[in-house]
Amino acid sequence: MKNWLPVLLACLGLGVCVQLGAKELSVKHKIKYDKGRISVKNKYFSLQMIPRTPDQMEAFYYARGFPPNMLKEIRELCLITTGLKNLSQDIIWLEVADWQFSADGKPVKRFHRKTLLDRWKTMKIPLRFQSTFRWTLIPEKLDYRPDEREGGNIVLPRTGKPITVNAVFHLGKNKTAGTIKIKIDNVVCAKDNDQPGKGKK
Amino acid sequence: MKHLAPQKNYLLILLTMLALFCLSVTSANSSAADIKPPKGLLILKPEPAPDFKLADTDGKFTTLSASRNKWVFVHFWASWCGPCRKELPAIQKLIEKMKGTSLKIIMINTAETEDMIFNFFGKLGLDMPTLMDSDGQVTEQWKPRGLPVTILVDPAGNKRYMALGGRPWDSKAYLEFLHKLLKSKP
Repeated sequence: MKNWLPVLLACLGLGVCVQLGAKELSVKHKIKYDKGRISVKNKYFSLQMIPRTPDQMEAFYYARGFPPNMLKEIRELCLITTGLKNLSQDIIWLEVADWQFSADGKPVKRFHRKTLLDRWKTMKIPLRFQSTFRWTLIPEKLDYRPDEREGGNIVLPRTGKPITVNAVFHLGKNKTAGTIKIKIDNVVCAKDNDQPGKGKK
Repeated sequence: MKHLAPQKNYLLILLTMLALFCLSVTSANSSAADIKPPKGLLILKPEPAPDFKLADTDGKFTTLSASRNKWVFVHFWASWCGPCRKELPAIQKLIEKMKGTSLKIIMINTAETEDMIFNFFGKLGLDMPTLMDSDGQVTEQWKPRGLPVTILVDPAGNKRYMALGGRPWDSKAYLEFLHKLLKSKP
């Protein structure tokens, strides 16, 4: 009977470990703010968020021949160019659907890429521009391999209030090697008249 | 210490040569699956690569299926993507270094015009043929993880490797890997 006890305890322990596979990891982050640009670094990954002004985005897409009605709509959005690089030897999962955005304690609803692509379809935007726009968006879901770097724009409704981002990342092939949570305050939708370094943390 | 008889010596030499021959034959024709790719290349579960028919900037059409029985390097790029700008000079060198080999290199621009490509290549001093996926639908069908992306397609027409972001294709490790692939059995 005594022999069974360690086995039983080991099984229980294993079960608990599997259940808690995605436990939150205690990770030290370095968060830097520089003229509205935000960079986060920890031992697992580096993350950059760069809010773009309407003029910047219009210039970018205008140079690619985007039609005026599409440019007008893009100007009204808050685009944040976001890039992630995996610095670890494990897989890191980015699933933007898990991220929460809020301003003044109220949720800010991110535009899913499908919502935007449906909008362009309704507006009968030529496929070429729909495709380019799609490729400039952040992947909705991606398993970053060691050393992999990918990114794209996160699209939010434009607001003058500072936005708080609660970002979540899962580690491991099956997302069971741990979870990393980061709270990023003071993400600001860049305005055309923004002076670098002023009015931003 | 006793010396081996001359006959035994010959036998030993013969056996060693035979072993060496077997080893060289095995490595020369090793399976692609046995070749370890350099860091940054993802091994894919083999699945058929979608065929396409696209025109280059001179209006000449190319299909993927025309390159069946060859390893094909399929690279998707766009002028607006920063990592593409960094990677393209390495691909230009790769094209030069792989001249005369059986590797087929297919560049595909995603959703841009001939003028954009012409201006972009001019600025970077690049000179390489590229197909134009003018409406971006071939790129959509291939479902890359992002841009730029390179997918290596085996002679049977299956996707086998994918590059994660921009890669140093002209480096020794990548060139050796590609040469080994060309000698391998798919």
